[in-house]
Amino acid sequence: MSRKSTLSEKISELLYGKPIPVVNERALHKKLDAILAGLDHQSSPAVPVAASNDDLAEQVRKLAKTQFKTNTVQEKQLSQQETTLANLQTALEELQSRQTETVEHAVESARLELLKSLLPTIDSLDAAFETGRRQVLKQPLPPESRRAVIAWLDGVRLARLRMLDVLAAHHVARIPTVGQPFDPHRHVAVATDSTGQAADGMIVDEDRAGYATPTTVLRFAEVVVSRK
Amino acid sequence: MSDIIIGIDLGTTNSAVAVVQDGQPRILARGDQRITPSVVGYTKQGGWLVGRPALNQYALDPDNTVRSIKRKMGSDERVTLGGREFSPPEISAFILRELKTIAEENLGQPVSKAVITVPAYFTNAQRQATQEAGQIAGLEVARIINEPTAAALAYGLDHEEDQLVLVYDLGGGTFDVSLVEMTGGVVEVRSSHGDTQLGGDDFDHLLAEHAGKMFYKKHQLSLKDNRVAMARLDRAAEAAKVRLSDFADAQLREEYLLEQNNIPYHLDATVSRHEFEEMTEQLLDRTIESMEKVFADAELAPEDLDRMLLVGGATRMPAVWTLAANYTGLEPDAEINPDEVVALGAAVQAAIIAGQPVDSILVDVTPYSLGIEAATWASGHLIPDIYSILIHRNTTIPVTKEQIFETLQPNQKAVHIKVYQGEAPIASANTLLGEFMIEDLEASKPGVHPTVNVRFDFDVNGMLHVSATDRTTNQQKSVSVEASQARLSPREIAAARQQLEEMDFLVEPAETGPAPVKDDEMQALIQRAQELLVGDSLTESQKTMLTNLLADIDTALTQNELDDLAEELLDALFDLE
Repeated sequence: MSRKSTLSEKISELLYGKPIPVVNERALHKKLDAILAGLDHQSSPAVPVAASNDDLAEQVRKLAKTQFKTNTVQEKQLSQQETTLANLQTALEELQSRQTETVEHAVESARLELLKSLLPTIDSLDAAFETGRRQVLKQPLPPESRRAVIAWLDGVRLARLRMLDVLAAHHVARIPTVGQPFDPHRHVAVATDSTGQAADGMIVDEDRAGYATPTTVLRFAEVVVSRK
Repeated sequence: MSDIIIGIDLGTTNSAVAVVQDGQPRILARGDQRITPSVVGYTKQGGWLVGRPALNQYALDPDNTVRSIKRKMGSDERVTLGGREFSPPEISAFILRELKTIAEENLGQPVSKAVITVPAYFTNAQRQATQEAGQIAGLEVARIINEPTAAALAYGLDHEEDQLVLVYDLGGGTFDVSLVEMTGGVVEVRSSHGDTQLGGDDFDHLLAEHAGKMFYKKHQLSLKDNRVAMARLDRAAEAAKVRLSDFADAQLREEYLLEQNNIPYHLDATVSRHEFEEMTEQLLDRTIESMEKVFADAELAPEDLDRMLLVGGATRMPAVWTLAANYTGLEPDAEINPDEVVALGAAVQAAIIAGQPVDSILVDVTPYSLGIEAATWASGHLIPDIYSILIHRNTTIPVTKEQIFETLQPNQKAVHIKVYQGEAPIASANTLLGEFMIEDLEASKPGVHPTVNVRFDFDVNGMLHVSATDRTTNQQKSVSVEASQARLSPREIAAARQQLEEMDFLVEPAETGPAPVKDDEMQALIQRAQELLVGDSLTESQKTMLTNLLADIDTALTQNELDDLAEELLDALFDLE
């Protein structure tokens, strides 16, 4: 091995001034072997005297051509690999950032979906409380029952607050309605009121509560708006 | 990226915008809003409103809010808004400009070109008006395409293959059915028929009406005059309709729906899919009439069809799938989100025009149908081993489907649930995935057959969770098995379908000689030569010599010829350097 590579280095030194790494070494070595065999057996009678100077020059030229080809291939491969690597790097980075974005988005929408699904329960607690309050106000009840109903109603009120606390912890708040000007970005007008009890464009009643985070409307508030 | 073209589905009720990115079409959303209501409004305080905010003010200011402008496209009618007169294209332009803005927000670059879809029945005047609307909105309309054609494109149907496709589009408020023919690279809508008064909303109304009747039956109170109660009923009905697409029954539960003399009344009712399908059957029958007209107009028959596509949100109802399958004898395609498929198809057309590569849309599906073994009585005879499918093959996953089964005998105490995967009508001819017994069944009333709710949950990991619940006692048994899943394009799905249905002979491609191959060495040499040609180290004659050699290499027909030329190139290059 050592003898062969020394020679191949020598030849490339001769041709290019410095040793050049060889890719297709095996093919090169084969050719070198052939030449060496020629050189070694130059004096041997069994093998015809190989080459004139012209032949040798031709063989060296051939060898150099192989070397040239190999280098060309290698340079191209190297530059190709560099480009591929750079492309892969960019693609990977893009993929990673996009993936993070996708996951974050999915988590956020799942969270909002879940919060949204809680809203009908709060509606029911609202209705339960309102109905009970009217009962207490309107119905003549004996003091004992009245106290019991009020305490029971207070329990409903607390349950409702507990739910609202859950929403508040996720930055979800009820959208203000009655007494506010109608805002199509947060309210849905379901009816108009022409009694003139409020200024034009002001909300006079709420059919269904709306909820929103500081950035997204979870559910639009359904309202009745004064129209003159 | 500078010449990006977007795809727009400009709908009567809702619109959507999509684009092809990395070969895949996708909807461009604003937050969680993937569709924009096709509504334009004006307020003194807020100025111009488009989409949801405009819809929100409709009841407050109907005179300054425009809906369904699409129905007026191509007419001379003027619309007054905010004290000014507008033509229909000018109103549509508001919507298009909003979609353009949504696209620009998503893409982070200006957008100036679009493909817009229109119904197949649109006249030239209506198409012209749509084109105008685009221009007013600052969009160069690269092409106007038919909605059914867009759906076909989203499903990867290209112009190369000759096919006859029926597109069944049941949206929220309108129904369209079209026969699309692809022959010799030309896409043509052969015939189209619409019912502008039929849509998913009609199904909601019937269900709401039914729930109102149930409420009346129980409390002798009418909800008709109560605005808030009616709104709640409509919403509950819509939610129930959506649930019934997957489940055997749905609860309509509205607490404190009405108060009379200080007494609150609640709605607490159950509707089964069977009841829902019975009450809405007449609506679906109307779509059959439209299909018949379309075939008659084109002088074709359902047997001539190659594919059937389901478009529009209402086609999620299982009854639509069954109707379509029964009418055409084909398994309809419904893998792509039916609300978005038209916009996605418009984006595919846009990418084709822009010369952008487009891959098929990939969907996760069940490659085989999944079901259980069932038996039935037919004229006194027991027919066993019937394959009852819960999840049809090529259903997008994850998916949940539920169905109610009755025992064969009134006093039957146990049911053997055998879960199969496959397509054979005889259950045992399919692959058995798992089995279990559910015992101690009870009937709801003496003399009645006990009933069992069988539920199939196919998750994203390819696990099928099967559970059976006794509807009287609520006791439950379940099993989880591994089932096949695949990520396929609609085209591959169709191919698999075809293969199974036709079992045609495969035609081997004709033998031709292999094309010459340039190996790495050759390519490296060519590249080096090209580099030399660009530089200025060569004389003119040397350049000519190299150029000629490269041209010869490009046109070489056989491998030998190519090899010789490469050797020549090597010689030349070596001498030059």
